[in-house]
Amino acid sequence: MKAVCWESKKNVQVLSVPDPSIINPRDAILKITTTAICGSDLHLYDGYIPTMKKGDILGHEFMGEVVELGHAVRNLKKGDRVVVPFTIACGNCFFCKRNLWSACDNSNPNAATAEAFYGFSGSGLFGYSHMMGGYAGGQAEYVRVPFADVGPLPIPDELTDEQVLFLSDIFPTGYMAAENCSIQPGDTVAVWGCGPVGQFAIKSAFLLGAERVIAIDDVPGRLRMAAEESQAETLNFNDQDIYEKLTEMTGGMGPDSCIDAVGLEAHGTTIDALYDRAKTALYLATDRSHALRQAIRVCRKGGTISVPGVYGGFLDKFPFGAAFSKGLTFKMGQTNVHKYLRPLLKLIQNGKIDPSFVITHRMSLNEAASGYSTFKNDKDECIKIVMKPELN
Amino acid sequence: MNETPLTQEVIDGANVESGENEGLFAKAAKHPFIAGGAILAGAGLAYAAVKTIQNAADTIAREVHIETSIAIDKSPEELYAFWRDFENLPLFMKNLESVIELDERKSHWMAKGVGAARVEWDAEIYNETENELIAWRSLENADVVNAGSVRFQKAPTGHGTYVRVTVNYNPPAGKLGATVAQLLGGEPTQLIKEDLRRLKQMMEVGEISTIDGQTSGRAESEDAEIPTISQEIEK
Repeated sequence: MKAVCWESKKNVQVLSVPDPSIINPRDAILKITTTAICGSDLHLYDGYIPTMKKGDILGHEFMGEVVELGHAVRNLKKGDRVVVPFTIACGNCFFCKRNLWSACDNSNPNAATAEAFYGFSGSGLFGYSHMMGGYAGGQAEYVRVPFADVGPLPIPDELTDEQVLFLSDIFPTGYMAAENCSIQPGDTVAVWGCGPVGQFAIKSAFLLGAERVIAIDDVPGRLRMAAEESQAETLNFNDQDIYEKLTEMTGGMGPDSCIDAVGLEAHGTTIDALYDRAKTALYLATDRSHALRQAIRVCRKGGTISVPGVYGGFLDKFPFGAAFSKGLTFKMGQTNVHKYLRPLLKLIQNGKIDPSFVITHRMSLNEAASGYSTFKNDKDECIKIVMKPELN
Repeated sequence: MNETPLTQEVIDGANVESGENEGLFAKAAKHPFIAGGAILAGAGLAYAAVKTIQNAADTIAREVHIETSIAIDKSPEELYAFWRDFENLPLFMKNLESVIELDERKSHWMAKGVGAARVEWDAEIYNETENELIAWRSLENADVVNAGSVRFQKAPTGHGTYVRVTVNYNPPAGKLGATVAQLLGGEPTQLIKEDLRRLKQMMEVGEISTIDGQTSGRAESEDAEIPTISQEIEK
């Protein structure tokens, strides 16, 4: 089959690799119908994430048709059309039973590495480094899905791939970010970062009852999408002082909640022992971490900081004194995708949201290499790329 | 069943050897490893005490001491029952080829070979408390003198079990030593921890999470092991 492989920093290639096969009883094999490049794939592309190996198959946002099932999977059948959560979860452990799916105890075969860095390991992830399990991803013609009796969500025929694909990651991720803000009627929510997760955080904040959402970025195309698609007010941080402006817009109070949908690349953070190596090799300017610091500074007293953006290690100059003194609440973490699949599918079915609004580029799987480069270099035009193997 | 002959000997021996340190030894005796009947390398007093003990194999596993633990969301009863059937151990212990039970207490263990080399030994359970503790040690003529124990402790929250394991062995010399070193690699504690993680997955999930056998864009020759933590840090 054809698969998008990580070869080295800034080098992905579409290679012919052997088809996947069932390894465990709870596995399924999907024939991919639609897959996407995620903003967090750019962290891999840019070489920020350790424990990648040449030849690793990328991709954690995908859907497809069930073509093979392990003997222990009884809730799916061949031919089912399913969306798959990017977090892999066993469904049996302490954490899965408490809806903390991204903290699954049993799905990361290389938990030891994550444990050494973090004390405990989160769940395995598709196509996201060996520290996160080393699972082959779904930017391919076929993919193996472990714990297929738990993750994949069957999709009704009347919905298109593009309407439901983002249930795999960015829609639940944006939604959980907004939910973590415990939005009250009349609230103002500020969102840093208007990439795909930011766009879904903005939409979700409105769905959850926010009165105003203020979107912050420096890419005009992304701010435009936030304004046009979600009626967010927008601020370009290159043009204005965000603290002054947000304070003014909220009558001197500051936003009730602040969402950091930017994450580690903007902030120059990485994992402990790799810190120095990364800092020197990758030019991590630690004082670029203005988004989270700004959020902490401008958030109203007693407000909430919600962080869907991915972080890896240590933050420099984290204003903890301000956070303490203002009594802020922090909520964050990898998305518990499984928890949101059904409720969000319902929102799509009821016409409350059509997630396909973020798609700006459609291409074949064969064009993945240029897709990564476009996504990386043309942030204004390119917000979300979906790829279809059938266009090859 | 609660027979603790060697444990008793250790404690008695300790008292004889160093009466003024009873407090320390009483404490040490509660330690799973000491209770397991062997002696912590580096615990000087305990080391002295062991000299007074006549082990059946005339040698005590004490040169390498490994201790690790894991939380498993199953009851102590379920875990004890699974472990007590030693023939289950190779299902999650990576380096074990087979364990054959010879009788209620004795078993024959065979580790995976490296090349033509084989590592085998007979072992006996010498201490056991139902649903709580199993301790075993190698008998005479073992290729590797070793001992181990496992404790199943109901987690304080009422959920699941805190499983603590100790393993002790004396690395043999010569060719056999090289084989054993190769089996255990540079990080034997990590190896045992991974065994426990597989046990947890078997018990909680019914299968062991793995990517072995999945395909990639690498030629097989390039499919090197995942870099270890220390290698990754050195990079």
